[in-house]
Amino acid sequence: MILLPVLALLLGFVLVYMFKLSVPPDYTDYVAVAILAGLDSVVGGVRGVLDHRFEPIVFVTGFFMNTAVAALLVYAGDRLGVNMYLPAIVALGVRIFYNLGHIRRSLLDRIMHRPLEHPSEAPEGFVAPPSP
Amino acid sequence: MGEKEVLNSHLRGWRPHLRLKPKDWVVPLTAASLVLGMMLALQFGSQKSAGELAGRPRVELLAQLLAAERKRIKDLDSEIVKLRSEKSKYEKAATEGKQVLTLMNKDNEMYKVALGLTPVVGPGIIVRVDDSTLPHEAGAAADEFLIHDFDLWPIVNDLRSAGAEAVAIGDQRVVGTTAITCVGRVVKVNDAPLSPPYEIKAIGSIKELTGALTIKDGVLDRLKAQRFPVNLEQGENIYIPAVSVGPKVKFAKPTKEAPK
Repeated sequence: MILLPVLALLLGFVLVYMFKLSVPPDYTDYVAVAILAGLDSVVGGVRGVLDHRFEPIVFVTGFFMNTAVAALLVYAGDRLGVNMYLPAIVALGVRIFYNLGHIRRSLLDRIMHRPLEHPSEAPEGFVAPPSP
Repeated sequence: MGEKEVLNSHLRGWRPHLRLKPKDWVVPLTAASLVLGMMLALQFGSQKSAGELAGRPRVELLAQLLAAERKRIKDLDSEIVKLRSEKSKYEKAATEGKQVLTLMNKDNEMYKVALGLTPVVGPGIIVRVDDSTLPHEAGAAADEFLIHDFDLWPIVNDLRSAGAEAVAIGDQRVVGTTAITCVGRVVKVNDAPLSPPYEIKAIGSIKELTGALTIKDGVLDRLKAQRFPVNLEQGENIYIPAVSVGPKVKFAKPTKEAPK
């Protein structure tokens, strides 16, 4: 199940790469920002799954809105003479790394603080509090 | 609190170990990953093609050069036929009047040297210039590291103004109708593509030719300032080949006076 998104990523890459599609050089900046926004959404989604507050509809709308808006914002910035490329990359980059850190800690938490199945697994000297 | 939760209550930061039903997140996350992968490939493809564009001569350019070379070979073939027929004509004339011919021949030789129709030997200099050997910085235009036609023009010009009697770039004699041009990344002289390092040979007074090029802030100084390797050599027996395709006169007609 975890592998399915990873496989989809590879499949999408191979599909487009096989057909040798490419965007005009003028638009590579916008695609780059869109990719970063998409990556931010996916990383945020994974974090949501681990935090048990993943909402499919929120994720899907967020993914497509964020990619489109990020690219449009940079495009609009170019038209207006304001370089939005760098701020967009910084903002998205900070979020991606923050969420990646959260995911890592969440996963480590699961491995190290695995819930115990039987009293015999309890640490030495552990005394169960009286049940209320 | 159930027994199990009490058992685990010593764990810091422990959250109820709920298992989210995979069907909730697998489909949206997979769909998003698919789109992300496609966008990545799209970007990857464009970045690569941009690099290829800058790094390699394009196929069209090579096709153009090939066509030009084929045309040149055809021209040379017809030149051979023409010269053979002329030779036999002269040989016939030689049997008729030897004296006139000797005189004509002497004149002819002089014109042939001036027009570049015959190979010549004499004292002179050889200049070698090459594309820059500096490491190519990312983002710098590749053009700045190459020798162009406009780098060769002033060399030829300065040599001529210093009284060079014959000039050649590579194996191409520079004559009155010679064009030195750039097609893409290739310098063409007399329509023949040359490749760096470019060797410019000139016959004339060694002192004057050397002086014209090595004068302070002269053409060689300017090339050196741009970090192009430059090398100047002097010789008593510089060989300069004949022009490969003789002059073709199609439009110009000789006249005695300017038309009114």
